[in-house]
Amino acid sequence: MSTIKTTTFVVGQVLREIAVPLRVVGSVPEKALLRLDALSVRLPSRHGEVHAVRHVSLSVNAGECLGVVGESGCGKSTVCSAILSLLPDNARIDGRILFGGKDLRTISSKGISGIRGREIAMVFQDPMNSLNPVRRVGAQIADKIMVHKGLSRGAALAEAARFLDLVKVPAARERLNDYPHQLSGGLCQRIMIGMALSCEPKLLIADEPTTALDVTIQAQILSLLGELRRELGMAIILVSHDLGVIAQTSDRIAVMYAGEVVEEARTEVLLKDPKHPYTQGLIEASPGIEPTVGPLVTIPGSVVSLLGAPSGCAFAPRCRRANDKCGRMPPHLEPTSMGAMVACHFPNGWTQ
Amino acid sequence: MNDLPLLTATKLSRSFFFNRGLFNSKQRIVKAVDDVTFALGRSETLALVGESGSGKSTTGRLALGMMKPTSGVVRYESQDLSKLHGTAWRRSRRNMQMIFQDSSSALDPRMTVGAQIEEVISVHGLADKKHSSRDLMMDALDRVGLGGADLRYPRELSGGQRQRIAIARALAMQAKLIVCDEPVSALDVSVQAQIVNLLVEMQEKFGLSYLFISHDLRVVRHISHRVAVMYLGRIVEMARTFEIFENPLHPYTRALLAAVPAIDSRNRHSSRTPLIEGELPDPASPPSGCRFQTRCPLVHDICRQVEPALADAGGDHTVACHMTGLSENGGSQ
Repeated sequence: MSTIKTTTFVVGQVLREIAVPLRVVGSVPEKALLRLDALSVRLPSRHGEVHAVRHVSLSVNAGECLGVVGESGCGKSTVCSAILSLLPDNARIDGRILFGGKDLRTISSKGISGIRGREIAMVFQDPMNSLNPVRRVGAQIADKIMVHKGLSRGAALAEAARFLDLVKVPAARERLNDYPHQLSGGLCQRIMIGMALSCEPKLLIADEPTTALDVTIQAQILSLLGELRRELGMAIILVSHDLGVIAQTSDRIAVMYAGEVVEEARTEVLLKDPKHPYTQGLIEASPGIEPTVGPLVTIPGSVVSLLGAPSGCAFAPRCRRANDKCGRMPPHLEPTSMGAMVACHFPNGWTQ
Repeated sequence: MNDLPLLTATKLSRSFFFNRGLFNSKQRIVKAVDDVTFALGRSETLALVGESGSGKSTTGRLALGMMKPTSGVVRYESQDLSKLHGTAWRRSRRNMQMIFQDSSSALDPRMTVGAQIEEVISVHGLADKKHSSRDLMMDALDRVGLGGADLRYPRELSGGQRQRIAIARALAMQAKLIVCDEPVSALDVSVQAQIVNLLVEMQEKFGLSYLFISHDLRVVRHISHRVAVMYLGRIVEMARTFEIFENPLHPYTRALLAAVPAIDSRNRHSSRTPLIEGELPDPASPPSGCRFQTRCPLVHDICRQVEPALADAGGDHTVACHMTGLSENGGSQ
């Protein structure tokens, strides 16, 4: 009897251990590298307070790629800025941002500068504007390495060349002496990624890293990010408005709408079986490369204003399934089958 | 309706000259468009695709006569655009409109959108006793689904709505040809689909022809009848949309297709065609022979020496590549 019990126990434990990495949402907080806990951001504006991010809870495990997708104004970039404490001083932030168990919001600004750039690095959309136009790129990368790793300038430059090699910049050593205007957009973005990686961060936040680039270069950069992730074992938060870009690179996708996460699931699950009507609309509205017949499916209307809080579901005015309950009560993220999370009173496949 | 194409461009070239510096008398010459020939039929959409710097926007501007070609001829309804002057020029020009990517800089920020549309109607003298310019303006706004927005300023509208205004303005001028330069690239997906649908609907209703410039092959597949792929100022492949997507012959076209980040499983990474390496070469000193040879996976000796000409691959499909096994006189070998 006891053997059976032990065996069951062991099997159960093994199953649980297998299940943990498969588990989708951050129900195992100690495994998560970064966890956002009911993060809210309010930004003052001329017309009143903008509630840009509302109760966003997300987690990223070590080595994982989380894709965050949504239309302009959905709060995806504000979330990134909040993680790195880059929001303006007058922003009102609530909730917790746990990185490796520490709440980044309680850390002093000095402590943050030790984490920002070193443990969490960021790549922005416009590489040309992210680099200083009047300094050689090598010096700019070396600066960062000198600050974070305490190396001499010579050693830092050698290190910079090593990282440019890593991101496949051709003739890396010569490129160190170039100014940003001498380089193409794709090359600048590679340099930005090389710079971000130069301190071997645990988490890379890439905010629309390929939006300004041509498709061929975009494909190169995305496959580079994938390779680097596997080689260095770092986690990536990839933010984009392009579901195609997100679908190709991410393990898991969080869909944001009007400052909230409305759905979160593993990539295959989300694309095959979207639960939220917004996710479904987003997938249907994205023209594929497959032939299409008839007009594209659209989501009527446009994104709501984030001034003041909507009384019910923020998507209700554009939703074909919305009824008076949606107008009254805001839905909360709740688990569904297949480990997905959805914030909708009437998700796809919903039955009473 | 006649069968003559609405617009033909024959051997169109456009070079830009840059001084290399105050004391350097040698000029840098960039051939932005080099020997481009195409025809656009009535109610047809021809897409120009390619990377930035491939010359697609310059081709669009040349087609409208907004820019004079260095050589070559553009004919609109059989009239040579460079020979038109004064009233005749203005009359043709009215039928040829353009929609830009950035709708906020294409509209006057200090005028209501209604006044802007009325202005073009009166400039072209389109109003008569039956239809006042105001009626025509309201009509145009109604057609794009923005009836009643005439008193708004561009800044009060969203990007998608502003793009609708640009379309309404083109419609108000009774445009027959609209050059759309990346009209939906700056828009969110859900709005992008609305604008694409509107363009298709207007084409069906008014028989418009579009020269649709885009880098997004997903939108192109949906909207266009034919596609011309451009690389460093030249058309390297041109065919019906279905042909381009299902049977691409030029290695550059294949590479472009492989790079499309599509949701459908077909293009998930480790795709069939390897990604092309490197970037567009300096257009001031294009490579010898085939312009694509520096990035081409199939490159042979001949590609480095001889520039391939567009050859007929049958069924309205032309391609400029030595490796397709097509001779320049058409037909396979």
